[in-house]
Amino acid sequence: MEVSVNNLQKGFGGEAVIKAVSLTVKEGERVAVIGPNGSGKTTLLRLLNLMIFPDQGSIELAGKKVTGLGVREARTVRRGIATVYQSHNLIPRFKVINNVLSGKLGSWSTSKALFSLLIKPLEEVGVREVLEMTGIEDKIYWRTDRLSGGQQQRVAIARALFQDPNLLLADEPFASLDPRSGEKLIEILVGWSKQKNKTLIVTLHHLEFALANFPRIIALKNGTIFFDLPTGQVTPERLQQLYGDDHQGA
Amino acid sequence: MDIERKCPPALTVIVILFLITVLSIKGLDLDLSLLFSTDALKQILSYFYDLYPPDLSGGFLREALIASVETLAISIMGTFFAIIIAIAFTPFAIRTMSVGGWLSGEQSTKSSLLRSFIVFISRIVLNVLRSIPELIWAIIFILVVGLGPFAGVLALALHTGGVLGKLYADVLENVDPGPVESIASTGAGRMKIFFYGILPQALPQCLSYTLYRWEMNIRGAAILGFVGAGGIGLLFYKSISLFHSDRVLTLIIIVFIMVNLVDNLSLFLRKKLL
Repeated sequence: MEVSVNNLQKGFGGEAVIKAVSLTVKEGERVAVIGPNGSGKTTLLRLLNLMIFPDQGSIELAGKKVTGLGVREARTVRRGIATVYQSHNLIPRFKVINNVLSGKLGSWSTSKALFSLLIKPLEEVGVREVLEMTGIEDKIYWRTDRLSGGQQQRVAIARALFQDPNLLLADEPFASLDPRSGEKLIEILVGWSKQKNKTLIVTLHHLEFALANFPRIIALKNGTIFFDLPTGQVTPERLQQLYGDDHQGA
Repeated sequence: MDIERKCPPALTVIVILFLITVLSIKGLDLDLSLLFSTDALKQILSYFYDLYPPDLSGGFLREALIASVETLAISIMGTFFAIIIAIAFTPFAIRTMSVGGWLSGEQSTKSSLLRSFIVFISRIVLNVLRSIPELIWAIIFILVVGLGPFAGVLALALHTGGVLGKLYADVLENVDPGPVESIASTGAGRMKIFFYGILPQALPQCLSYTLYRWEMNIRGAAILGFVGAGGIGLLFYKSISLFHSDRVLTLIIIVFIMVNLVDNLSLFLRKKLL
């Protein structure tokens, strides 16, 4: 899915968080968004998955303008966008399979969703497939809160993949994991994007991950684009300028 | 975005509470010495002495057991209708779910005004239901449907409905927004967001509150008989009025056993749920 953002602005309570951001991400492209805390990374992703609406500017997804859509149209667009959150956002009491199935809720009818939840989980084959991709197919019928943090993030990624999106957004998905688990999970996301030629936009705290896995880096600072470069052109000096002197590196 | 709240120092709170207590005793003109005088002690002891032995004659025991089952039934039906009342009002009393709440994806000013109005009205209705005690509801309903257990059921249902409605609304409003947003971001509509994102988070707490209120309603139902709303309270009233102190003791024992059984059952269920 091609993402095209033009002069985007968004503020909360009078404070501008995103100021005049414009960018284009091509279909199948993989982009890492980096930047200091409070630079607007999360807000940018929430604008892209239509969970919040911009004050100014426009967003086009796959060539279609999605700003100013009605409730139902916005829901239809959201079906094609999956989001992985830093705090995995799973229901702790659900079995893993029900959490993964919730990725398809946008395209399921309410009665189907209730049947699956209360009587018998549907589409088990598909769920096993994505859990295999994320490496925890053996936990399919476990209660989610019995899994470790890293395993729960694998479930969250499985849910996003199960949604079968054209655009996958991930908001610092590995910030609460140890680097080794983070690395494995990033490989899963990048592998999926390469194999299916789907767009992947990830905000990242770990610069190493960003530089090692993404061909393009967008740096946000104070709600504006500080640089937008192929990874090869991202120099230590630029990173120094981005984070200022207090940054300790990745 | 959080506004930092300043906590009053603990000492200030303690002093204020102490002052309130002293003023309350003064204001109510309580004479604590009355309670602790030897005369009072004697009276209490002699009253308890008169209670013994309990009346365990077959006829009265039968009557008492039937009445206690009626009390149990009143508490169950009262709680059941309370749940229905609470469920009927809760969706409108929750800011995030009511008309135009963010779950419906709209953020216009018009719908947010309407939402505030509906939330406000629903909360007021729940507050009124809740702030009128069961006993007053019972007296009102005795006038409407006559003496008997039905008035008791309605009284418990309205008061408890108000309480549970508020509790449900608070629990549902305070669920972790993370999972809710992630369900919403898949394009799910309100019903699916509710059943997959909100309810599973809130259900254990809501059930726990409901069981707790049921426990309270058993005790409440035992009192309601005093005003003629059926159950074991009516027997209490008769036995006390006719100075059948042995029967009073029997009833106390029965209520004690019943309340304990239900408390333990409810504790067991709550442990299972959480």
